[in-house]
Amino acid sequence: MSPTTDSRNSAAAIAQLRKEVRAFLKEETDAGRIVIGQQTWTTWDRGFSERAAKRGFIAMTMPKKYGGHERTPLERLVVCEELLAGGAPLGAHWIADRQSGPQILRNGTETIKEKILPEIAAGRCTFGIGMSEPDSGSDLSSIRTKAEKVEGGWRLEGRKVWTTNAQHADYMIVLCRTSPRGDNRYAGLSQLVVDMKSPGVSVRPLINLAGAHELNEVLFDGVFVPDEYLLGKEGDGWRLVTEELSFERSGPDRFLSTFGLLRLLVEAVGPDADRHAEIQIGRLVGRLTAVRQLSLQIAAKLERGEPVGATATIMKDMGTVLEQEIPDVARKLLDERPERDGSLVAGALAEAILNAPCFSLRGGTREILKGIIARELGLR
Amino acid sequence: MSETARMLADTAERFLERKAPEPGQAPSEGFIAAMQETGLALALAPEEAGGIAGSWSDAAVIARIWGQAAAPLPIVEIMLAARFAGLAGDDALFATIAQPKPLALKADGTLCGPMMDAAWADGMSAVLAVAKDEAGKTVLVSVPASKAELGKDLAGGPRLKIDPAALSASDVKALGAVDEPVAELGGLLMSAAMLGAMDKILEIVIEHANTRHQFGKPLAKFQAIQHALSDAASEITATRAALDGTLKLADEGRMRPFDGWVVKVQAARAATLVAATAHQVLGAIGFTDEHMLHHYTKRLWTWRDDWGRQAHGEQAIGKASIAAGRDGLWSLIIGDDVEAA
Repeated sequence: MSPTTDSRNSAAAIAQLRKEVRAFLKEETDAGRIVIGQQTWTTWDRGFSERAAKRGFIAMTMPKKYGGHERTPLERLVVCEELLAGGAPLGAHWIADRQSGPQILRNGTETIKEKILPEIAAGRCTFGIGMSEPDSGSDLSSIRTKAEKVEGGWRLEGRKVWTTNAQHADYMIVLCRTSPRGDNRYAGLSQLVVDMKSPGVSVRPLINLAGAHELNEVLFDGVFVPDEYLLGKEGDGWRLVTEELSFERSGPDRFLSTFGLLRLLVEAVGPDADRHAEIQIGRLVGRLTAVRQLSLQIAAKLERGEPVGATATIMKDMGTVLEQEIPDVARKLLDERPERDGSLVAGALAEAILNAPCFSLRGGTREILKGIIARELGLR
Repeated sequence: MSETARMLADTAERFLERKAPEPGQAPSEGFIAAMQETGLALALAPEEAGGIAGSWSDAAVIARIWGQAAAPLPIVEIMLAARFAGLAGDDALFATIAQPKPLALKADGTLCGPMMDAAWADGMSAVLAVAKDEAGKTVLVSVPASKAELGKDLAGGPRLKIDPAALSASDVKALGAVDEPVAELGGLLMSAAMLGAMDKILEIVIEHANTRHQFGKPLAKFQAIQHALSDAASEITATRAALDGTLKLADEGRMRPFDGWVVKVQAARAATLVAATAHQVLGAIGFTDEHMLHHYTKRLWTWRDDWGRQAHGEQAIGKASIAAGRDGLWSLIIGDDVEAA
């Protein structure tokens, strides 16, 4: 069935689905478990994820035999949008649901699909992303973490940094070198799924500038990873990472990180807002609506298996600029200082200001993104 | 693209290739007559008026191709005027339509309001305008060009100014009610024209950056240039996405004024950045009269504030957002009908 004729994607069905998600979010908000402007998609709350899973809001497009719900990609997108716009804490399942689960489904062995995917679908499984290293940030192909072939698997040695929620993670997908670096620096890399309970794995906190413990350093000291935990074939690493990034970059999490503050801002300026405030807010909301259109069109293309080229990259760059612009406009229009223990809106402003720097770093820095776009434009 | 859109695109491209002058040159004699023969002007006009009754997406394709060629004649106004005159049963099928302004049609048949302003071309039969009558209904009126003052826009295109106070009741012909959001639909087509001009500008700039050498290498090798062009391309991509999404709504008769403004302000914002970036990269070469760049950038500087000034559009979105409030903002943005579900 084509995406447009599938009755589950009809306007009425989608509206019904939005209504279900909003009802769930209202329950969570009424119970005090969601505070607008305070939590984001990196905030770890396993209880929330388990309750979301019970409603069928995780692993939505996964096959039923792995605990998924076989819903359409549009249905999944709608649920993600609603959860993000509602300010829900999604950190306990977000990375697993967005990229690690789909990666395992596409490239994992049957053993790990059966073991891991049902746990993700139940909201009980947190994943970490093992890409960056102390000496490899934007220059990802220069990583030094390596895995040596041993009897029945791999012996992993190295260090990863900036791993969000690694302290809670059940698994981590680690990009590592499995054959020596030759002329092609993208060759000889592989992705291993690492069980965080394995002997030799240790996690150290990296407290961020907002005082929060979300980032970590992860050390792998001779960690044994069984053969079945290799994704794809040995040497597929770079291709798999690139594939993963077009899904990672084009989602609504790339333009809704400070949406809670924008909601509080329109409330704070209220009906007596002057022309200047109206124009400034209109500029933000107009941009957000346009970027969302771009996101929807990319999702539709990914669903049809069409190439999206640099558009996913463009969406992330524009979306994150917008996420950073929202607190800057808010601080000029509000009569309050940013204050973490102040009013609801002052608190949201403080959180947004303190977290804004990372929006254009995580998932590929702004500079890397612009380089990709320029290459696509044919600048040589 | 629909079958009609493909056919119209072919016609527009072939016509402009054969007949359009170099950007900035006066069209040859017979250009207007030849354009009318193609039927493109009637893309949006109803069949009863001899039109093609095309969709908004179809008309946007023509506007985009026109913008891409920096071609003469205000195609957006021509297509809009033919549609609304045709729907009102008027025979002013080669006319213009004035920029949206708060005009009032009095019971005595006179018009009052700010100075009317319309793109113009020789041979047009009338100036249409949208006004509110005393019952608050939106109506279409037609006024003669004879009492207008002729001026020019930034790109040198002819522009009429008409003082409504100088028109007598006998000058003003009321053509009947309009039930479409004319200003926002005009903004959509204007955005399509801007998109065409921006596509062309990006092509010019990329070509220049790849061929012009300084310090022993092409400009395109400099990261500062790459990043500037990446930003320009991003703005264009967002404009195309917003336009395509909203044209679909317009074709289904579901476009809200909010959706129209989103496209127009995105296009205007993009136009500003794309024009500035292009001039920066082209350097002094692009600042000359001789280089074709300015024919495109001047159009953008005119069009970004036509069919709703950018600030007006942003204010309209801002007002709607504030009215929607904390709990309604998301629904406003996505245009959902969850309440009805």
